Amino acid sequence: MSRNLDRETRALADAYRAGKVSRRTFVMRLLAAGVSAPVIAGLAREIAPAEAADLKGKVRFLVGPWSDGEVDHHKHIAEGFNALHPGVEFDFRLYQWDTAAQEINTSVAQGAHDIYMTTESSYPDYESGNGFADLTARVNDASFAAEKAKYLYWDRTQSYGPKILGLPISWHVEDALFVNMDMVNAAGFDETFVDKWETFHDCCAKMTKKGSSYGAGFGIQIGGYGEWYQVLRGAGGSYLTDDKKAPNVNLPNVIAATERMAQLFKDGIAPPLGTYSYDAAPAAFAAGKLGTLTIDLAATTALPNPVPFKWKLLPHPPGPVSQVNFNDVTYYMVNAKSGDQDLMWEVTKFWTTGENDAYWADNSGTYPARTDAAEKGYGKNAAPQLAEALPVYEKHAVGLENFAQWADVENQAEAEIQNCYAGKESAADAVANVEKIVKHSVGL
Amino acid sequence: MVESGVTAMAGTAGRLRLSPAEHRRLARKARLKRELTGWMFLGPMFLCFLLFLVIPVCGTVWWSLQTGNIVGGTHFVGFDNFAQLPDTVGAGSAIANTLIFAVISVPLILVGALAVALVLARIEHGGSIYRFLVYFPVLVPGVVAALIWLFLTNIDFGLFNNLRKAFGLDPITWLSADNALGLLAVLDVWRNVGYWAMFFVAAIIGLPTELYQAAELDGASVWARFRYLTLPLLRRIIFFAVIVSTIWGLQVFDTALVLTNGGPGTATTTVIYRVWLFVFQSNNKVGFASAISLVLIVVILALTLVQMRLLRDRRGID
Amino acid sequence: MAVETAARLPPAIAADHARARRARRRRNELLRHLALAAITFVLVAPFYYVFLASLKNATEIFSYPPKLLPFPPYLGNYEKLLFHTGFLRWMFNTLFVAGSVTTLKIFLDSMAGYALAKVDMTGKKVVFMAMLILLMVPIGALIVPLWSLMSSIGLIDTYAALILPPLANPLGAILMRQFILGLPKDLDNAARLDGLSEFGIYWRIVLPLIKPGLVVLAVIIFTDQFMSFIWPLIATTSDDLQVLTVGVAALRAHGGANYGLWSASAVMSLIPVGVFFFVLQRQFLARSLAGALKQ
Repeated sequence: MSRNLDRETRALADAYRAGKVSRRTFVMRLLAAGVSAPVIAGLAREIAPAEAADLKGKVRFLVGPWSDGEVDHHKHIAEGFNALHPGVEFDFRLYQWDTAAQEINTSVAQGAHDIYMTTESSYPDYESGNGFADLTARVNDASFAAEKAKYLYWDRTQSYGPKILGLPISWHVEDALFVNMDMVNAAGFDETFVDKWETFHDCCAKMTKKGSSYGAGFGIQIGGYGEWYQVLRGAGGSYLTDDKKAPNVNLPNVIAATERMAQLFKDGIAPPLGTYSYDAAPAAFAAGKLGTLTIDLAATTALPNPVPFKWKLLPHPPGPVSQVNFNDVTYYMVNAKSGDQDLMWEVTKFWTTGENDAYWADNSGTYPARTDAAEKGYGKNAAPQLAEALPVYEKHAVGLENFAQWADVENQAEAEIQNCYAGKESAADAVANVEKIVKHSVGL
Repeated sequence: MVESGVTAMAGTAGRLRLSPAEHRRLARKARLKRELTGWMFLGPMFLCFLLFLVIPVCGTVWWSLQTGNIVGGTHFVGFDNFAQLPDTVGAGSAIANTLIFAVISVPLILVGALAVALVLARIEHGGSIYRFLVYFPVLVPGVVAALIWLFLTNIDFGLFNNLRKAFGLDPITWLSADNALGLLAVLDVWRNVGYWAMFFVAAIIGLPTELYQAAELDGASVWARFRYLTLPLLRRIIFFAVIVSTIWGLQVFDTALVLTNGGPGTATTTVIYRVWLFVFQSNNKVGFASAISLVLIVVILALTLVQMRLLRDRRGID
Repeated sequence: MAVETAARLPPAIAADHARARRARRRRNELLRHLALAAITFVLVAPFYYVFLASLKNATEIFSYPPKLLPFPPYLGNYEKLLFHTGFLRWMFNTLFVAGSVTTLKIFLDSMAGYALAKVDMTGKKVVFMAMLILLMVPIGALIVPLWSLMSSIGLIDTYAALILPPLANPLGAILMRQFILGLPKDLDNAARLDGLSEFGIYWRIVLPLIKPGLVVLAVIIFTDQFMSFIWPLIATTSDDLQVLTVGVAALRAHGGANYGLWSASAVMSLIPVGVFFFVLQRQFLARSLAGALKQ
């Protein structure tokens, strides 16, 4: 193996020395071949020392804790960058999901970090402010056009307003249904049990055995993010009407859909809220305590390898009006206060190239935001269930609504609905309260 | 002052005798020097007090009359925030949760602390070991305590459910919507019993033993001695403990965040938690958050004044 | 009293009574020990459970019945905590901040207390009342203006942001005032007559005399700072300045609940304060509190 590598390496090195391939191609091909970055950097320096006008500086990242090795993944990508531009230093810091908003907002205000991993749920809020750099000119520049074509989800990104604030990294299903197929089969169903609410309910009921397992793991995603929003949209509702002038929450279908979710808890098919936390749930699923688990796809990185049973990722059953799957895009955004905007743009572009995006998404349990991800290595580490489920998730995909307070409303609404699931208030009252929340937050 | 004394005693007329004007001048100089020294001593601490306590309190008042964003800027809306408070989803439950929490934890803490203190004060050998162990949970930061209790309350292998299983009982969801607030209160009791126990121990040690010996000779039972001697003598300190521990109970945040994230639903969202949510997770509710903070500050001030009044009264009667 | 009654009883019966009293005393002492043992067991048992968990790997933690003795110990959790997280840095930051605040406040508060107690100055009563009234205002209710203030001075994410706001707490000054008021009244007058400057009185006479009070203050402030969470959470944004409480809370961020790691962090967090307190506990608990409470 090493002899082959040597031959390939020598061939590439000769080509580079002769000027037949660019430094960038030289570095990227060697990286793809598995040569380690420090070796590449050494080779590159030998052949052609870096130009004086090369990029220099310090880049501070603030990113989310997608998996246990999150910082290591970024360091790996940074090594690749340093092979090209050795004069740049990197710093990676993780925020926590439940204090993410606070950490990001205070950091942006202070200019404490340069590149942020942000969620689409806050995009409308960021669009209305000016904490993040406006990348529109750079993205629409002719020199970026070829690369831009390989990114996905520009339609969503550009729907929030004139400013393009970030480069998409991933497309994430926030409330995917993890299904223990062994338990489903044992209950006498197959994967079609999600096609109707009645079969879903029955299957979950059959998978529930007092003292050892629950059929429906709901209320476990952090803050319930997106879980009830799917129910709301599937029942034909939304936080605001299309003209954004009134709430569109308090509908009979919405109340009915919420009621039948609450019934799962009342019947003991779903574990009482608080039984399993976001951190502990993947292990519980893998231990067979939950027949289905509603949690975001990143949980695939927390499952043991191998999982001791057959499992699949499936969509949730349809609501009264439509079948809906909530998802959001993740972005890298640049702090408007960062000094060297050119450096930050180069770094952001590098982090979202085909190889690097594929690498990161592959290890983080999410879908990449590039058309060339599969050919650049996506799929090596990601659970195969992810790729299998993608077409179905895309078919019923629904995102957030474009108003600045969407994330705020979503957080408060999910908490309110969980009060209903806990039996503290009726579905009708909870939904009415969500309507109040919308009005209070938006200022209607 | 000293000079006039010396003058009177000296008897020799002339040089040491001061005219009234000179006297006043010297006295003024002395007083100025005293004021200056006083303020030099008091100054540094008072400056910090002004900058980081008084001004922020005024700031909270100012912010409560605004609406907007800490970063993006705000504009004046008068008493709107306060007017909206009663009707806001989540405000009422935050207040209710905080009050329930205080009502559960404070009596448990104080009764427990008093009971422990009574035994601890009289023990003859090995007292210092017990004191250290009883006080140990007090040293645990709230966040660390919450992580410990997350582990203890785990449904499948936490200590509490393991104990229940050992006794043949079913495991309980300790952090359910019904139990979480109570569990949070018990966590607080666990952490704070030692603190007040030490307080009470010191107080009990200071009680006059002759009264107790006399009572014992008179044939008073242990319970009677407690009821008619200990309790009244400790009245002041018990009042102090009630007020202070209530005020601390009203501020619960760390444990609510780490243990349950304010959930399930809003079951453990306390007032300060709600303030924090409005400040950082909303994009236009900073004024609202300040209004809630102001209400909390006023309540705490009221409790403080009540305590001061009660203590002053008792001092008069005693 | 005992002597009088003994004088009236024949010696044999008096001896009997004495024996009965001794037996009763021993029995009461035993009961007290039992009660305290039970109470401390309940309070401290969770720590033992956590200590055990910190030495277990994941499979052992998940197993039932749980292993009750830490042999053989699994050191992976500690290794991960100390070498793969910022724990040591967090510990340093917390100790640095808590130590700085404690040292600063010992001087600031004792000076302030001295002024409030001994120096006759205008506005003393007003200042004292203001301190008493605002004593209980929690820092959590002031996060908006504090953050805004720190941010406009540009001090967010600095040690100053962590050290300065706690200096405002008037508890220390009030406590010191009470202690100093308790000193003999003519002490400072005599010293003044001797020609000692005000600062000399404070430094050479008052400070040594209120040492127990200083110990109480130091323990209260240090533990308070060690535990503070909401302000450091908001005031620091970079990895370098994370304090222990914030860093440990962030351990939850890594996918999956790593109970072993959390347990190890709990054990390691308790060592410094435990040691600090154990060393000072005699002074703190016995004499000092009793003295403080007499005020």
